[in-house]
Amino acid sequence: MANQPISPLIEDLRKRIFEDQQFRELLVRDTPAALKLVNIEPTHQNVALVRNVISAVEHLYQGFDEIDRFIT
Amino acid sequence: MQNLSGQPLWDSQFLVLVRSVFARIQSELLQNQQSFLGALVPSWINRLSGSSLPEDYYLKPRSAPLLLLPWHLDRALSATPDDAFQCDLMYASINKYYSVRLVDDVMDGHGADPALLPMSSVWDARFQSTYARHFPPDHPFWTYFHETLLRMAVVVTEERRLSNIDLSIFLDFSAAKSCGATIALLAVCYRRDRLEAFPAWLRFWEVFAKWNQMRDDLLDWHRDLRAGLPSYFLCEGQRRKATDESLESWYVREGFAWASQLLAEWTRELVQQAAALGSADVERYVGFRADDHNRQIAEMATGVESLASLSRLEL
Repeated sequence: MANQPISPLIEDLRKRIFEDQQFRELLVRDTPAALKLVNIEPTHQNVALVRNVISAVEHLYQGFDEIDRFIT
Repeated sequence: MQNLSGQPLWDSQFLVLVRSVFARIQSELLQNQQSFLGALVPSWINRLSGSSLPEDYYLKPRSAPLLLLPWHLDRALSATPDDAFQCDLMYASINKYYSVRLVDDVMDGHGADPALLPMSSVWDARFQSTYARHFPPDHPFWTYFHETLLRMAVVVTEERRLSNIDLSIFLDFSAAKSCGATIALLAVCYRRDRLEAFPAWLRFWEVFAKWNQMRDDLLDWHRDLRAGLPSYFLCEGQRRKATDESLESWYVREGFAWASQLLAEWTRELVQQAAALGSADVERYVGFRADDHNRQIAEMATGVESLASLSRLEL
């Protein structure tokens, strides 16, 4: 992937997806409202794209929470 | 527990021994249950296992090597398993694990109550006195025993002082934290009078340890980032990311792919090292872990690709 500048709005959205469980839950429950919260227009295309993202990244959080330390 | 071909990862006798060792540990806990500490310890142990059966933690395929490798080594060296000796190794390793894990959790702020810390000397004493039943004080086993414990202490402490971890530091410190587990492997080799087998099993452990630690770096990267804990993965991200790029964006753009590629190379190395041991049991276990790892990475890749697609949002 090329190192292209990412819009600050998308940076903010990605960070919120990673960091904020309540925001993730809002994205699932009410995608347009969540997008408005991060100043992204809830167009049909945007809502559809974000819904796809949320369903696909769920196992990333399972990975984050995994206790995978047999010895330290 | 089975691999993809339906073969068990361990035999029923291994399960019997693990459960008997935990019954012994449980009875020791009950002797102390009236005290405040006696109430804290079972609660902490149950939290580790995620169930009311403490042995569950050690019987998860990803946690099993601590007890499983000495068992497989013994089977590779002798047709006649030495169950009593294996029980002692398991008992020693579990006690040492509790001690190390408690200190580590308190140091990392992972929610362990510091009031538990006095238990670490009890667990350490049980660990050492168990080996003392089998090796007299002047036995060469003790040289490796003490050198390894000192190395563990040094690398754990040094790692906390490091802020710019590269591959060399990762291998010398981060991946070396689990070297204490090799004590049980050496004990088996001495017990069977097969010291020449030890170097290959030690090499295997070193490859396994770096692979496992890198998995931990990748899977826990965001928790480490938020907690301010440096890791090889996060330090590499700091070195590689663009000046105005966040680590989250680097993870999506390049970081996940970089770590996955490195882990793929190390997975192949792990499989090769396992094949060199002459143990079908270890090969089967490593095959299971490699399949499990590849499946997990493939699932994560889907999520990372989706996160990358957010750049297509209409702004």
